[in-house]
Parts: sequence; C-alpha cells; structure tokens
Amino acid sequence: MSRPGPRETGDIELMLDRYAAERLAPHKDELDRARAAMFAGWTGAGSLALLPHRSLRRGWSLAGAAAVLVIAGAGLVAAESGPGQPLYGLRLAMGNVTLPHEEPAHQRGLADQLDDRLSEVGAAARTGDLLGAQAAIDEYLHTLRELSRDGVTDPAILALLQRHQDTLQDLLGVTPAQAAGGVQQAIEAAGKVNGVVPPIESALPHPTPPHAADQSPRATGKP
Amino acid sequence: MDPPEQQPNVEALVERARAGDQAAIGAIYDRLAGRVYRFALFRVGSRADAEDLMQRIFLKMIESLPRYQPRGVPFEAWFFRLARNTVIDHLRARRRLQPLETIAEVDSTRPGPEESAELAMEFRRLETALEDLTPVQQEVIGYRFMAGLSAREIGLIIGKREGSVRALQFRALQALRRSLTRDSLGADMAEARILPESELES
Repeated sequence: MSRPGPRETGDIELMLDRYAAERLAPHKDELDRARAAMFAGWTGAGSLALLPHRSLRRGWSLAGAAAVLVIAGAGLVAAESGPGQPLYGLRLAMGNVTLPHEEPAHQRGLADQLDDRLSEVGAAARTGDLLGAQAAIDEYLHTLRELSRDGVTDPAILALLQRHQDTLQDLLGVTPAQAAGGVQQAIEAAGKVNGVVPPIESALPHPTPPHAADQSPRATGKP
Repeated sequence: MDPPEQQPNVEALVERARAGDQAAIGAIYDRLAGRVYRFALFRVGSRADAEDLMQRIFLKMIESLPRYQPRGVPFEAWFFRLARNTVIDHLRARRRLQPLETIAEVDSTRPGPEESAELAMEFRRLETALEDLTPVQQEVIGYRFMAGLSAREIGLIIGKREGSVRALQFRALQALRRSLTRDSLGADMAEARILPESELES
C-alpha cells in the first residue's frame, strides 16, 4: 500500500515546509558565488554602488563571474601584501567578506583580526617601517571601532583587549615617533572599550577545575 | 526557517547598510539568500536560473537601497517585490512559464542526503498538485512557504488585502489536499491492480 493521503491542510503545510527545506534549498557553492558577486558590486568606502542596468539575462552572471575571477586573481597577490603595501587594504577587505555575521562569532572574528593587526604593528615598529606601522595601526583602530560598535561583553575579548593595552604600551618605546601618536590613540581606545563594561576581573571566566576538564559525554564515552 | 517576525532588527541592518556598512550587507544577505533562492527556484524550476536570479536580485538590492524608504513598506516585502519583478522579467524574457516538473528533473541529479525514494515520490506528487493551482495561488504558496513571508507582507507585494491572501492560501492548501488525496487513492488502486506475480501466487 502507498502512504495515506494528507487528511488536514496542516499536513500539506508541513509537506510544503519540508519540500522547501529539502528540495529547494541552495547549495553552499551557489550561495558563495552569489555572495561574491554581490560584494563585487559593492564599492565599500561608506557608499552604496550605483550599478548600470543591464538587460541581457546572463549579463549579471558574466559580470559576477568576471568580478570573482578578478577578485580571486588579485586575492592571490593581495594575500602576501603587508601593511603599507598597495594591496594591503584589499587583503583586509577580503577577510571581512568571510567574517561571520552572527554573534558571538562576528565579534570573535573581529578580535582575531585585531590580534593580527597588533602583530603587524609590532613587526613594522621593530623594523622601523614607518608606513607599515601607520597602516597597521590605522586598521587596528578601524577594527576596534567596528568591534566596540555594539558594546563588548565577551570575557575572552575583554581579556584580549587588556593584553593589547599592555603590548601597545610596550610598543610605544620602539615605534617610530611619527606613528607613536596612533599607538597612543589605540591604547586609549582599547581602554575605553574596557571602560564601558563591568570590571574585567569579574568578567573573566572562572578556571576549570582539573578533574572537571574532561567530563563531556564524548570524553567519558557515555551516551 | 524562522518566520520573519522572529528575526529581529532587519530595519536596523538596512540602516547600517545604507550608511555603507559592509557587515550589515552581509548579514542581510545571510538572512535572505536561502529564502530568495527557494522562491526563485520554485518559480523558474531551474537551479542555474535560480542562482542567476539570486545574484541579480541582490545586485539590484544594492543598487536600490539608497532609494528604499524605511517608513514605507517593510524591508522584506520591499525586497521580495524586487525579487518578484526580477523573476517576472526573467520569465517574460524566456517567453514561457517553465513547468514545475523541471524542479524535480534538475534536482534529481543532486538529491538531498536524507531524501529517500519514498520522499522523492512524495515531492513529485506535490509538484504535480502544485501545477494544478491557479497562478495567483501558486504565487501565494511560493511567498508563504518558500520565501517565509507573512500574509501581510504578501499582500503588500501582490496588492491584495491580508484577508484575501489568507483566503487564497487556504483555498490553495485545500486544493492541494484534494489533489494529493485523489493521487494517493489512485496509486493504491493501481497497486492493487498490478500486483507482482509472486504476491499473486502467495
């Protein structure tokens, strides 16, 4: 016997929901391509792009595909660009495209970026690379602004910012004089982010007791 | 798929996007991409065309955002109106409505991992039943179940009152139920008539 037919319209609604979720759902590669094409049409820099209208049905796809190729090609070069080099900004912009948009992953992604920028500031400062240090500190401040836009409450990020303040303080001694103002600004900005939340000690996670560290079902083998 | 009323603050994201915030654009994309793809695939029946349309719709969104008025139509209704127009342009350019069976043909090359043969058959029956709906009923079903829009939002898109949309949806679901029940009974009768020899012998 075949399955019985639906008895209620509620059954039909469930079937339609399932059909939409299982049969019509996009594949990840389709979503990735469309996202890349969309950002290729985005000028960034604080304004929305006004794109020319195209009537050819495949026009947008071709433009999108070409843009993806251009981005991919430039990306290979940009991936090696350090602060102060021409494609440094593109490299960072490409990193932003892949940043998660849901919290807390978004803030943590920005915190990782902040860490990378601080490493770049340090590396440039220690080698006397003024342009590199300035570019990296500018990006550090930009990322910090983005991170603190909606307030920071994640204890791990607060702890990171505390460490950054200390590291930046140390860097003041080796940074070229022209870039020292930016480092000072970053120290103050990181301090302000910490200042708008409860005292950092109370926000830090409590250390896990050694005997409780591996009690998960997977670790214990329990179902 | 969360219903739109459970998704907080899309208007705030739009405001940020209008001010040039790239992360906000990305968040809007994440919120709408799956839904607009399902809607487009439901309407045009081809994955390649649905992907093409999805790209064009988001590019049009970027192009049109500066003209969006936050105090007018809710953003998602505005966005899907734009999607609707893009799909209609596409269908006009193609000069004919592609039958819904194409969805099954195209998708059968890449079935979902959980999709059994029985479920695939159920989906084929559903697609056949959907074909029998009137165009406006098909459209309402597409907005409601593929795009996840509310009756109010659908009404704003197709220019009907919320109550009319609910009535259209109800009639569409009733028609689908009748069609699937008839189909199921027909399948039972066919099975009863064409039993394998082995079963007849036993």
